[in-house]
Amino acid sequence: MQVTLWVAGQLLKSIRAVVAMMVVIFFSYMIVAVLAQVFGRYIFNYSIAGVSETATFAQIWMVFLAAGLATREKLHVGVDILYAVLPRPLQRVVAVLILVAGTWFLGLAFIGSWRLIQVGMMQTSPALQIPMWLAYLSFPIGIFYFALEFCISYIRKIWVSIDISENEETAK
Amino acid sequence: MTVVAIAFFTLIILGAPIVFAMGVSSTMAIVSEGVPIAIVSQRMFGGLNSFTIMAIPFFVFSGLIMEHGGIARRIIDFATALVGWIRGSLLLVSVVSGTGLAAISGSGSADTAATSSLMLPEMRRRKYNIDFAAALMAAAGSLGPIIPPSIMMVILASVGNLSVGDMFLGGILPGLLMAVGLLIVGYAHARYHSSTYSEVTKFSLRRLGLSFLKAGPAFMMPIIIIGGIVGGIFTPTEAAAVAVAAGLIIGLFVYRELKICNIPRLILRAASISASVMMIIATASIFSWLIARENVPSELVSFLQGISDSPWVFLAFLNVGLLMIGMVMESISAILILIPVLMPVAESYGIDPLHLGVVVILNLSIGMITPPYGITLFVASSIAQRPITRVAAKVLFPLLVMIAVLILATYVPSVVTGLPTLLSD
Repeated sequence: MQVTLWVAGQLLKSIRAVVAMMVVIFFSYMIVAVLAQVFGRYIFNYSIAGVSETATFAQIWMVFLAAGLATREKLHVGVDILYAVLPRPLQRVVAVLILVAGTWFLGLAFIGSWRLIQVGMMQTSPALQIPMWLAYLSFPIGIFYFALEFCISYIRKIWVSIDISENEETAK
Repeated sequence: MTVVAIAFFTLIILGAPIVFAMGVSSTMAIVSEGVPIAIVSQRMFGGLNSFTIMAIPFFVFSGLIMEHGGIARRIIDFATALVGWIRGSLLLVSVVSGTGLAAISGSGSADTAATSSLMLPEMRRRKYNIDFAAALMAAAGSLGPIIPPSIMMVILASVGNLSVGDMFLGGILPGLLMAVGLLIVGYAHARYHSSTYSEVTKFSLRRLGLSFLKAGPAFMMPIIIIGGIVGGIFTPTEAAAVAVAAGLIIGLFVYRELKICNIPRLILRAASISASVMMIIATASIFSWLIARENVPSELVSFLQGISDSPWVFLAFLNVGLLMIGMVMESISAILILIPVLMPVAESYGIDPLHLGVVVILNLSIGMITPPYGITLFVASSIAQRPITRVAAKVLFPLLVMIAVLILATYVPSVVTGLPTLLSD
């Protein structure tokens, strides 16, 4: 049991590190690409075709991946005025309800995204003819990581006594 | 549609994150009507597949750079030299700084956080009324979405098919009027409790000039952003990327308060904040698809036209309704839900979409300082370490001033549309 938990913890850590790295890369690419577009147009008088398309795809990857990171940083806000004053047992019930509903939604979105990828196998992007599945792939991967972080955060809310304090450090 | 409404409000009341309230309720409607589930994924993808909304992560990032790159402090120094010699100086300085920061960053909470954390220690030392000061800074911070650049305006323009540049211009005059009003409120407060607020910084032309030179690079940012968009040099998204580049250059090489090794951390923070906003945009596009499919706007049009066909009455209802929504709802999700419904209705009353857009922004920004869900009020009171109820009790006069400008902008459309019309000709 201990070993399994340790392995799971290490796995989670490496997933988080990879996701964070990818997010930084995609975000940086967006900035560089859009700046290149501006400078290309005015300074070198040369228009870089399709740059905005690749930047938009990078944005989609960035958002789907960073959705999970935002969960860790408690950035997905809600109106928790009522939740805060509920007695503890009721809080748990509400948290279970939100966990179930949220997982259901993310699960359906995940399934739907595979259909999108199947379509994307036959599509290419309008400007650069990039295969669309490259962009669509961000969806299942991002949603999977999002669901993972979402479940972790709500399971923690329901059952605070679980000791995952080890991961709490890296969250800072 | 009733399924969506019931599920959405239940989840919101229970405290579910808005992205889930929106996603779960719209998906329920999709499933219950037998629409293929791929629509959910397709709409979410479509919501993010937009070059326009890329301005959001860029403006969030440039806001963080401003916060950490020493830009906020230079603006406050300049504001101190400008108005610090008047009675109640720090109150006025915080309003001027809040307005200045609003012209650089696109978000109200970032502005409030920057001014409150830098101003409050000195206000404490001079024994200012901290509750009032926090309320005033929250109000000044809520100018962030009104005075361009503005993340809220980018979202509204992309949902409502409006020009981001025109929205930005439309916000300038109402924003500045509100700033003047807040200055008057601050000064009146200082006059009324005169003994506490008499300590001032002496006016010196040299100091004003020096602090202006130091803040100069920071003031270049709004000029680049607004000038560039209005002059047709670049699109709002490109302007936002240029703002990031300018902010990085200023923070790294001019003020030297930013370090290269800190940048990945700032990027991660910017990405997380943007993702939390943009995931709401993604799920809201499932919702707006449902709205269009169910023909909600046209039904609402015939219902409202049956009550009154006067645009004045409609605007009055709109303001009251939006102020109430702004009290309980987070502004970005309010825009995403309301704009697809409101735009066609307003058009049926012959209201200029640009005018409507800015009025919505004004309302929702005022909602940032109205309890219980007032985000800048919350930020200011938590930085001041005061109970939010105490700070909220002092928000009345700043609030009244902002509402007065809202009414002016609602019934004198040229306050909003004047500048965009003038500059686009």
